[in-house]
Amino acid sequence: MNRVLTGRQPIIKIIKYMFLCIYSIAIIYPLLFVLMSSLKSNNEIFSTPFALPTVWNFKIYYDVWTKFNVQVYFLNSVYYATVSVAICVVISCMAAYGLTRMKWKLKGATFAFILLGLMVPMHSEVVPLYIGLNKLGFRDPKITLIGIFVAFAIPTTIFIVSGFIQSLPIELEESAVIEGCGLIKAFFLIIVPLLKPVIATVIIFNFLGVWNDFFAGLIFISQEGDKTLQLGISRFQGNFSTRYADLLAAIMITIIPSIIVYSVLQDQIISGLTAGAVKG
Amino acid sequence: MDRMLRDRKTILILVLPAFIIFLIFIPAPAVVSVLLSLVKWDMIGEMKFVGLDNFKFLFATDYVFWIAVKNTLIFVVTSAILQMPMAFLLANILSRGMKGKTFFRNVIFLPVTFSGVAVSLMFYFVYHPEVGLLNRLLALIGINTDLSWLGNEKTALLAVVFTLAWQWIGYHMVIFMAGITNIPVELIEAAKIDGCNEWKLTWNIIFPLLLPVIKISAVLIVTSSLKAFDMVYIMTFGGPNHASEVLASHMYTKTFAQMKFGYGSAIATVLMFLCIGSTVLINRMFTSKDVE
Repeated sequence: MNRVLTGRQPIIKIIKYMFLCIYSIAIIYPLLFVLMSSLKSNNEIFSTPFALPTVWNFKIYYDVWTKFNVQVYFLNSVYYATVSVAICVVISCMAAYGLTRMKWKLKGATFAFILLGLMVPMHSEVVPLYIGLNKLGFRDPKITLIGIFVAFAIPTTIFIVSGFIQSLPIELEESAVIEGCGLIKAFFLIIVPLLKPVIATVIIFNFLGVWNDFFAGLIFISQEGDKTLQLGISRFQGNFSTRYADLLAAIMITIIPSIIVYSVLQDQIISGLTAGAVKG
Repeated sequence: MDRMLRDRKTILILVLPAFIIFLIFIPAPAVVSVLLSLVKWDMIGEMKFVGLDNFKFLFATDYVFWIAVKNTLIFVVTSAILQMPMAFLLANILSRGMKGKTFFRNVIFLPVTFSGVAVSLMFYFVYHPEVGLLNRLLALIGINTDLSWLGNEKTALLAVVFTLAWQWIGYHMVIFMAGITNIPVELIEAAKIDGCNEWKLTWNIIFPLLLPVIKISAVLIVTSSLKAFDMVYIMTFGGPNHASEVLASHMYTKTFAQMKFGYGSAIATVLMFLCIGSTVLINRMFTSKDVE
């Protein structure tokens, strides 16, 4: 019996490894293909698709970055993501504390109401907001977009953070309060430092959410100078057939920061992005 | 202490900022959106109350709406079929103490961190009839084709669904892996001692214990497929000839290209109820299974 098992085991193992390798190649190879093609001329992309570039045209990255506003888009995205994540994390942590530790009548109902917001798709929000802002004469989309990004991040953030606060012993604040510290002060001085790991999680989660948004940007941004990276590069597809490499370089410019950050912080990113789902 | 925890002012300071922003940007517009579905308005002329006329037109006359409904359902079902079994298989393999587990997990999860736009543009290139990777690879194995995968009515929708799966399988794999890790080791050891083979272990022990996690995964796939927009907009724009039109893209075209704000709101309202309905339904389905 044992011999039969050991005799079969290596084959199963080899099949498993082969499967994993083929699957991984299916993930990595398209990325490499885009990377290699982005460094080629139109002719080469057409005639020798699988060969390495004869001349490695790295200059294309510089061109796309400067000539086509990609620089502006990139910095805009950094701005939107940083500001909205900062606002969201501060107010959500405060609210999470109020919704777990504090004692009030409608606490449970309020919490449930906020979580219900998870089910509402952004498509139901954009028309009223678009009309409302147009009627109010809002021309600057920055405030609208940041508002939307913050609001959509609030339910998950409160959910994750309050789960963490519940696991902290209440004696922490009690001793501070006995020494004459106000509750809000105790929250910022004692609780917030303990929240660091969970704050890191929600920062990653929300930053990627905002960074990768396309829909909200598409609807509320009309000026070139306000565009996000995702919105900006989406138009490259239009003149794709004349200059393949421009689009491919633009794709790589959006992907490369993700790959760099991910290669440093894989574990945090994986647990950060799945935190909401796994805890639900 | 107890008095401090009941202090109204403190509670308001803590909860109100988040609650107000949430209220302004999520529940309030959602309600207004439902109300707007009862009017006819292009934002320039008079707003006209038309009752349920938008919905009547939507259900009875708008043939594109029904194409979009059909395509959205195909999108939901094929996404689930493509992503969940594959994610389960990968998670099951990786959770059995393989060497290189972290490496494979990290590679397979990688596309999750990319934006939908970047992935769509990448696959726009992969599916390109002349210079695309897919047709080039097919040529290598002797199938010469200049099929435009995104430009063909028969393949456009599935090409998008496949791209979505390429990006998201890693996400569901990690959720399943977390679920498998939470199963007590003793349970699996005991099953092995009792002579349970790999196959039985997977289906009789791991799979049933994983149902709560599978439920979460199913809700996420169904709701995100219902809302699918970025990939469709960038890769096919709903075409060719509405062959890949989904509810979200139809709503976008009606509202922001044709300026029918009331009508667009009606589509958005249908979409919202589909999202809420399917979440409730999936939760129900799995709870009744738990009881068994």
